[in-house]
Amino acid sequence: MKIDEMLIGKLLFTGIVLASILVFLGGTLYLLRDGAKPYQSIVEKSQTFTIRGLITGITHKSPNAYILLGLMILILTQLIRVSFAAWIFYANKEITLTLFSLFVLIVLSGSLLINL
Amino acid sequence: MNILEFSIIVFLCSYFAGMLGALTGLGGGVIVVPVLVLLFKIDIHHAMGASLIAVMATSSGAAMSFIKQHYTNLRIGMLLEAAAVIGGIIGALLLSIIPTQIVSILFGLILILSIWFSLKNIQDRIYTHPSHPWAIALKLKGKYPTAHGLTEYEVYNVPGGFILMIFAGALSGLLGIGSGSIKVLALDLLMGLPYKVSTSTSNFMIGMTATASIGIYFAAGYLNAELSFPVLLGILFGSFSGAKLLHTTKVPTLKIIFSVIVFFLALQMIYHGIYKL
Repeated sequence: MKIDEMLIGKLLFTGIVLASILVFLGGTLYLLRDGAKPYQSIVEKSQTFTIRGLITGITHKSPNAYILLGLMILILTQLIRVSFAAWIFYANKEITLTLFSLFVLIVLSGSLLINL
Repeated sequence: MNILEFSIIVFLCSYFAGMLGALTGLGGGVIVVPVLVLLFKIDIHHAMGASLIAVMATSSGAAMSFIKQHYTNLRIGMLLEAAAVIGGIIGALLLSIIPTQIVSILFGLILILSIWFSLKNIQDRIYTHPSHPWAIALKLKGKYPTAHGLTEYEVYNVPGGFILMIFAGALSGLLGIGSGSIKVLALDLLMGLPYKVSTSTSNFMIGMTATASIGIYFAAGYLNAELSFPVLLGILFGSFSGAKLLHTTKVPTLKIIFSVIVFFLALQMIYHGIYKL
């Protein structure tokens, strides 16, 4: 059981390291481009998000797109951790905890899908 | 101040937020938001978007180490997260009916009261009477590291913890805050878990709770890439440090750090409530 639980820990670690590498890359490009501008400009515009915009941004090497992709990975890792938990409980034939985990997974996925 | 200097300062503040957030189970958001809003006059919505990212990063960054050291109780975490999610839905539905100012003030007062209860027993209390029947049925009991090696602990008042967690989830939905504070208090005071098990299990849960709200911030354009970048990186390194520190930090020290942060959170909540009335 403990080995299985460590799997979730490792997943979260991999997810956040991957996210951080992308965010670091995007952040460095961004600072090289805009580092000298006044910081108040950071929140002047609200940022609307689309999957297509993200893909175009990455092909154009836009710093923002790399950061956003990193954030997306961080968010998706949270969903995968719930799926892993459900799977571990199911493998151990613990139906109540499996159902609770699946319920969490459905609500979290739903709240993301509605808004994206 | 230019963006480079701003990013460096936010990175450093986030480092401390991540360290304290992982240690206390509160997540880094309670520190990141006031820094961005009060110190840098960043718009509150953008700050809260970055704060949700901070909470996920704290939760993910420290999780591996806490699970490995047997502090996190994954089973209790998933069970109660379901309650928090139910509460989140209720909170979202009540948003247009309930005056959030009054909720905010009440929440602040409840937090101050809870700090008092938490500090009254500053040492970790270990209970030995048998666990709640639900805890036995769902195998919620666990073992955690002590000076005498891995020691089994009992789990009490599962229904009470479940109901309080619905309440915590509803507050998250209503006030747009993470509810790490209530999670730790529920696990510690109500369910009688060892203190470090309470903070680590709360730390495991808050990342999932934050995921429930992030979609709304994405859709509204409040998830700011430029702002999230120094926050995420700072929090990540901070949460690694926090995870290393937990084992050697004494419970009374942890409780004092927790109480100081929650006290400021309570003042913030009361201030916001009165200000908006």
